[in-house]
Amino acid sequence: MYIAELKIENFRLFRNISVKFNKGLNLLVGENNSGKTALIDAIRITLDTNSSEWTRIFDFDFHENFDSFHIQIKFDGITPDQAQAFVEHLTHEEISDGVRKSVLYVNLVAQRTDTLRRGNRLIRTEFKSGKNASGIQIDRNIRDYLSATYLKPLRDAEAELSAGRGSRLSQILSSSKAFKRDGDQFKNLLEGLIAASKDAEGNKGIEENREIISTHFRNITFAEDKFELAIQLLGSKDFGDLNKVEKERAFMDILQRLSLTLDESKPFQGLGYNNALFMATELILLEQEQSEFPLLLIEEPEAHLHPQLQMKLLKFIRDEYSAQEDPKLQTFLSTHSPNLASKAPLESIILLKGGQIFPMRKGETGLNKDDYVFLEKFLDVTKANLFFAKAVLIVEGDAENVLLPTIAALLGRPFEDYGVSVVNVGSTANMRYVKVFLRNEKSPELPIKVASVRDLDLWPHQANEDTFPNVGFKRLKDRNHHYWLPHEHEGERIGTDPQHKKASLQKLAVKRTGYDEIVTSPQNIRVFVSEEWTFEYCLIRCGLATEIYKIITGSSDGYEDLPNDEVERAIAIYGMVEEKASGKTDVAYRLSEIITGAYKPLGNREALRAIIPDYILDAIEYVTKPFSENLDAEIEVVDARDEVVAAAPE
Amino acid sequence: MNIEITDADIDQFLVSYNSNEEDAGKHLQFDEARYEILKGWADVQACPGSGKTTLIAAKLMLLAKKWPSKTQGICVITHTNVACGEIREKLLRVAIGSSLFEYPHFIGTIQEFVNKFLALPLLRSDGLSSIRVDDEICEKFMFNSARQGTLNYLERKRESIANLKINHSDGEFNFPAFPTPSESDSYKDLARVLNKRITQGLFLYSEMYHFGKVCLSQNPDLLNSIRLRFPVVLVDEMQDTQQFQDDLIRRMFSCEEVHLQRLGDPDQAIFEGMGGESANETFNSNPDGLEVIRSTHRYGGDIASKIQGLSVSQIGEVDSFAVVNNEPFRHTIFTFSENSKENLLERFSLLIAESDPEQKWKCIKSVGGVEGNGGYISQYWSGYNRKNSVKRPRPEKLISLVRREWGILDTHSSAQYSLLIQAIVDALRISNTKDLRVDPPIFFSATALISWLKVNQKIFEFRKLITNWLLLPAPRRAEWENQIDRLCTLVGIEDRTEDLNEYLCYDALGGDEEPLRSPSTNLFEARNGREIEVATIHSVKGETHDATLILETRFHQFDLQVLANHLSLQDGEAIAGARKLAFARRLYVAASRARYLLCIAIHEDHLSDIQRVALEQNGWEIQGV
Repeated sequence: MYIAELKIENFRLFRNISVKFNKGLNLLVGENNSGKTALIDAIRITLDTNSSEWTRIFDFDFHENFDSFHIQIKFDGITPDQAQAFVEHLTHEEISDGVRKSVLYVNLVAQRTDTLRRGNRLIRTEFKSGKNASGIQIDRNIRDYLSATYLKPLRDAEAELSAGRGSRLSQILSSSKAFKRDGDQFKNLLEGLIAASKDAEGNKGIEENREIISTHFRNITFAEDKFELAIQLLGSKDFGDLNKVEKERAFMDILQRLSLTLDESKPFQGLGYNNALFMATELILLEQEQSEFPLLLIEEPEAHLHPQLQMKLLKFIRDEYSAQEDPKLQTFLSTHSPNLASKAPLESIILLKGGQIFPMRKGETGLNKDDYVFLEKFLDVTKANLFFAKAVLIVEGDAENVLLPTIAALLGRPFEDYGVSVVNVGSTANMRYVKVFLRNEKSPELPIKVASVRDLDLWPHQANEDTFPNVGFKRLKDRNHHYWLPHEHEGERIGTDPQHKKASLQKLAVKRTGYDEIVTSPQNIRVFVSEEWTFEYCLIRCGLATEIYKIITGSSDGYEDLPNDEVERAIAIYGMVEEKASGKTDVAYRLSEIITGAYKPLGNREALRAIIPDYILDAIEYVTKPFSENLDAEIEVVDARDEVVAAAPE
Repeated sequence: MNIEITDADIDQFLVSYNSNEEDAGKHLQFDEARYEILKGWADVQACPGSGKTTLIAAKLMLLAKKWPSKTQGICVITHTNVACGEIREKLLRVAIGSSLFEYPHFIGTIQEFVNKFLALPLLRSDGLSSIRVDDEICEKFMFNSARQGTLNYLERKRESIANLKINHSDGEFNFPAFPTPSESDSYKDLARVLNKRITQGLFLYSEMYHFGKVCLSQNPDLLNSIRLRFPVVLVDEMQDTQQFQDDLIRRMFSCEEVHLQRLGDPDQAIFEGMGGESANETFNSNPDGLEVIRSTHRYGGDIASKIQGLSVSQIGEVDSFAVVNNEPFRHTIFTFSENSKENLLERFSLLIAESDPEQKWKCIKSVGGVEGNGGYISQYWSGYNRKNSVKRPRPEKLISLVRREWGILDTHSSAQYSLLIQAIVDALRISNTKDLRVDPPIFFSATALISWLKVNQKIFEFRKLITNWLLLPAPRRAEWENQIDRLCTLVGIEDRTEDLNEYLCYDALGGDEEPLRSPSTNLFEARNGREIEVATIHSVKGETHDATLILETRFHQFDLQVLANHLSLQDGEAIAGARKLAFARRLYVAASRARYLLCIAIHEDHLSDIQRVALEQNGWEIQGV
């Protein structure tokens, strides 16, 4: 049994949403204020939790000025064993003609009344079953049965682990099989403590103090009031004389005095390990209560856990409990952590954005089945970044990765101000990543602008080393005809028309319901293709030829010796860049420094704009905001920072 | 679920129950047979006065105390809300009892069970959000929705639109006056009306069984869930459970996982065949499969030995816990002739005076099988109001009914409602107003009156008036006279006879008000001052009397005559034949009411000499009247 669907009307930032969930792991990711907590809370207040957290409904839970909200949770995959608890509440959903299955809807309807109670408006709540909330009231006991295990963010793990009434540790131990009420361990524990208690009572020091208190007490009370003061641990009855209730009370009494510490010699551990320890105990509790409906809600498990521990935790939950096939329990995790996102199966990720919800489940994205398989392998921390951004720039190489943030910042469009993540995916998988952001035709569009920057990768015929030995470094072969720009070769016209190539680079093979489709620029996705060959080649052609030459050769010497023909000269310089192979990234960094030095001072934006390829300008505009006529005249709201932060290195 | 009740549990229960009961007379004690029934799950035949309700309540308390689950429950199915109320009342005396009325348990009628767990969830699943299950509302709705032509057609065919429904047996639509589909407009109109009612979420009680069955067959997991939910199921008054209800109960709960225990008494199945439904066979016709409680708290061995011949299950002589009197009462068979019939009640009263000189007995009744319809109760006492033979008779003036000073014990407004209708039917009779739709005209029955009002479009104003009387404070004189005028106009009373005015007049409440009680117009007052209530057997089921006189009545045959051989233990064969069985069950119910004195009145020609001798040998006294 698992939560298959959640519908929310007018709860916090959600006006009207409906989202389907996985039966195993559900990882809620999104920037701050995107609704992660609201989503978890919607589940939490509808089903309640078995943690000590108090679930209450407040004024601020109502969306804007609405006076009621409605949360509906649909359970599916219900076994007869589970259904027995709520037969009268079942909805018999028709799955085919004359065949039905049991599903359960739990509805919470909260109404803000005009009655004031302690200065607040009284909120009336109603829990009902049924698809239209037309069923009967749901009994408290059923909600107990459905209640989730909830771990709140930044929780005080140490307090949770320490002794006290209703401590988690006492709950775990009391439901442990080791302490069967008719077993030896139960008896031994109680007997031991009773003996100790008697021992303590007999202690001279205790006895003396008891006497003194007793004397004072008699002095201030009436003679006819007779009391027999006792200082004791558990009471003085023997195990055999305790009835069932007394035994249970004594047992809980003992358990509540126990606390769990990591290492006796070092009682104060860092928050991180305490957190992990706390989660471990929660998972035990969940396991012990297997027969009931297990649901785990964890908010920001990364709190106080370092990245490696985070990944370990997620891997554990993913593999042990919430495998996609036949999971033991359903888990909802909310996180800010790309680390967690990178370890979670893509299908388990649910993206939240401005009060809307975008699950990455199959069928809801434009991804094909093999896209999932492919992306699963390559989803690392860097790429997981893309789930936390307002806009994403997907690039094919290090040069773009390094230089685009620099250029954007120098043009007054620093990426960090616009929440732009730059993701370097290498060359081949570009479009697969792009499709992550593409929704099924039935789902709303993702409010994330995605720009993919791609190389045209068509070679000018002057790059042929056979015909232009002084600059060329490519060789024309039978199998690479389509890589060349169109030209005459031995009386035959070969090559690919740039317009066609560009169009094909902008095309996406998209999964639709029931068929595949080839689309261009769907939804928020735009593909920007270089005007010529590659990014670096375009830079050289646009006006950074000398700078790049200097970086490679160390000085401007010999620049005049290059061919006068612009194309040939550019090919010559680009050839040097290519030759440096591993040094390409280095070139990018050096170039970044140089243009920063040259164009950072105010008043140089238009000058920079003039030497940057158009497709790069277009991409930057798209993910930030449109450029004005004169960039140097733009009034700065946020000043450009000194350093430009690119995406975290891979 | 493994739940076991041990002897020790029962011992402990009795100790704690009795220690909380100050009245030693109300202390419980159980014999071996009752221990076995509390511990086990066999079907039970509980003889009259065996304390079945107490036993069920005790079992529920024992189970509740040990109940291990928060989501699994005990299901108790009763036949009527009255029976449910009796169990409730007993359970609420102990702290743990109240938990049984809450989730996850269920105590109620089979109809309520089907509605709650099967039919309503199914209908809601199909998107109906406001569902009403109410025969009367449905009828009203259909009457309003149908075209006048259709209603006229039904009227001509003497059929009622109330029968336009989904058959619970097969789920087919039932079209009144149309045994087979037709192309006629009326038929099409009926189909439209029925569909309209269903889409509006209005349903008849019986239709819920159809939806219940659909739910079970379409959702294959559901049966399992229900069985898991209710690992223990008790069915009370099983003898009155109809076959289709029994089928459903067995389909759900007759399996290994469920402890199903059914309790009742086939000998007392006098409601068999109600509403044209057939009675269950698995219980009523299967006496060998039943664990029998053959001991009664009600009457002594002297009565037990005399009535055993009427038991259709041949239960034999039941044991008695009742305190044995030093001087046994003179259980008498009065034989009468046509001429002496009317002296019977007087003779009975003399025997009462002799048996109960200190006048301790409060409940003395004389009962007969047939009411109305050529029945003969009134032949024994001309004062017996034949048309008043419903369980509650009606008052002398309409106003006292409207003021609710009469019949105040009845809290159900539905009962108040039918009383009022009956009272108005009486008024029509008194004024000699007849139903002119039939030839020759006859007096209105309640049903005929309602249908007449409907046809004449007067029903809503009429209902409004009745509703006012039911819900609002009693009217003042001027208001009342107004209302009476309206009533007379509505129901077409043209001639306000003196008798009618007497019946409808307003009488101010005097200062010397009678104590509020449910008076009985069928109370025979003997010359020696003893009061004997005369009633039908159906109306006294479940009652305990101090003394009972059974009056021979006829329905095609004379009931006592037909069974004289069995009563006198001359015929050891099991009773057979539908009519004979029905007679026997009825007489058995009648004969098992009395704690102290049981008398029978039979026509002198209906007993043979052999039978007389046998009856005398069995301790009966035979007196000619």
